[in-house]
Amino acid sequence: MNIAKQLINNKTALICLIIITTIVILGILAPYIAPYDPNKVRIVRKYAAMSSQHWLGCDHLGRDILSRLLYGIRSTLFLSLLTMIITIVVGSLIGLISGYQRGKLDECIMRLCDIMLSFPSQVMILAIVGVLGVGIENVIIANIVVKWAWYSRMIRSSVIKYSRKNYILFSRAIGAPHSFIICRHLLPNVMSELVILATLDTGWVILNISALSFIGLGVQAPTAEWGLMLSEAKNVMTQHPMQMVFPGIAILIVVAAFNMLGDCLRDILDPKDKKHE
Amino acid sequence: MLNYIIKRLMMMIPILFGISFIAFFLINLAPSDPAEVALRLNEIMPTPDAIESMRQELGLNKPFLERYFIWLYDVLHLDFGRSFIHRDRLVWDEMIRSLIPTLILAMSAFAFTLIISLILGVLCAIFANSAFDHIVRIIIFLGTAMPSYWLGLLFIWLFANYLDLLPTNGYGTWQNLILPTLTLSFVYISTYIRFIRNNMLENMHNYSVFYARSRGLKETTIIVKHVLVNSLHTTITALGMTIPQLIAGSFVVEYIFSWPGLGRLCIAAIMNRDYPVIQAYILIMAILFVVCNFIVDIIHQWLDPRLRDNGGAV
Repeated sequence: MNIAKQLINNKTALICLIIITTIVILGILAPYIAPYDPNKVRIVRKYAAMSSQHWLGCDHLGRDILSRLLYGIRSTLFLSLLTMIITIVVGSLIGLISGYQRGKLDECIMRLCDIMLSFPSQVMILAIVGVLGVGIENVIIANIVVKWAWYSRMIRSSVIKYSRKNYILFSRAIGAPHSFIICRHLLPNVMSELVILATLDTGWVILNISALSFIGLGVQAPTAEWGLMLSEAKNVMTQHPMQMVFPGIAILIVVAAFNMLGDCLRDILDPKDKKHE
Repeated sequence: MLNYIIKRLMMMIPILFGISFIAFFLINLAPSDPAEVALRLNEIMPTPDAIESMRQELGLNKPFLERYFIWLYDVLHLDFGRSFIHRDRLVWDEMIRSLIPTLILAMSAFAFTLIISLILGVLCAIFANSAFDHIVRIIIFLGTAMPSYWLGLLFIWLFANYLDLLPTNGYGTWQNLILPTLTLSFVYISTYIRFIRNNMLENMHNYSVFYARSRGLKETTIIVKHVLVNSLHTTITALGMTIPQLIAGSFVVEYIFSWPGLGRLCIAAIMNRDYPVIQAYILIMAILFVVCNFIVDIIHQWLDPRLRDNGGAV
């Protein structure tokens, strides 16, 4: 509760939270508030300038850019959030098992983590997409494979750190079930670290997924996705440079909001770095 | 020191074996049959007969481990097989041809990152919380949130299209190198200015610095001899680790600027499901990465006497 209060008191964090929430709501409401169908091709309106009908103009097929941006929230942001949720769940589960069981299994998992953490993530992503084939679901899988180890490592070390604390030993002694100990004693302790890491990683995942879509390995046309929109704008940038402005700004704002929120959270929850920032 | 180098070299052998196995194993996980892919890419109807003879040609009908050792033997002789698309081209030749542009780009981006982030990082630390520091920090912040491909497009538009100063793509002259270098190094510069700045500010609270001040040394001497030199160790280790990241992460930049490097080769191979090329890419990247790690470790040992004296046992 204290954290929530501090977050609201921190002006930067509050602004970031408002931006992110607004964008999420816009994404959810996209079918109701988007002025046009994002995939409706109207060749006559090709490269239409900004006007009262098309606030941000139209693209090379006469599709309304504002509508595509709004629907793009669903593919760019929501898919990134989905990736993060799966990563956190998978990573935490593996970390919990590793920290709880210890022994040989723990040793194996940790060596695997070492490999995953030290290997350049971009190569790993290209390798996985290369093996599984082009497509957004494979890009999501690749991102999860690259990121889970961070969460496992973090959860494991917290589990080991806290499982020797008196209140957990006491809980065990009176026969509390493992699930109770994990949910009531361990997770609240790990939460703050988890939230910081997850917030900072969300920005990274958004950049990654949109970059792969931009190259053509992720989301496929005609789905509205910000990276893909930039890729389409790239082909006509000489004649119509305005085409690449809005999707780029959209990505920049969302990623900046997540990064800044992550930094604020770190300052609030982990004040020792504060003096330099 | 020599002992340490030998020990580290010996440790690299099992790691390299492991990597080669992973690279081979990964490709065998692919959901589609390589023989069928190879036939389709050459526009041959994949009849059962044709698939069978292709399997013979690619050696796919042997057991897994046997195939791995045959492949490993070939790889040790620098034979990565032939590309599925261009049956007359050796994968190794293509790899080497693309490796050089990638290395050139990575090295130039590295040099640029090193120079700019050192200068700006040190200035930001000296003039912490001044107007200059604030401006640089805004740029840093944008740098970490900016999609690099968008930045690349903006650079192309500004420098090639609007100002007509530099070529948009191509390879061979120094003008071609400028825009890819700027784009690739932007994120890393942002990261390292912040890193160097915070590291130096931390070192400014060391007792050695207080003592140097009380001795009445000049401020520049204190900054250079007591703060910067101490910060350099960690900075160099961190910077060294970015070289493999620069090499691996350059594929987006290579794609935008049509830079004929490894990343672009790999993207094309992924699109075409050209498995031998993907396999060779994974393996070469992993080896580059292990070698870079090794070199950084050695430099780190050599720079830091505390590590040097007890043979790296810290």
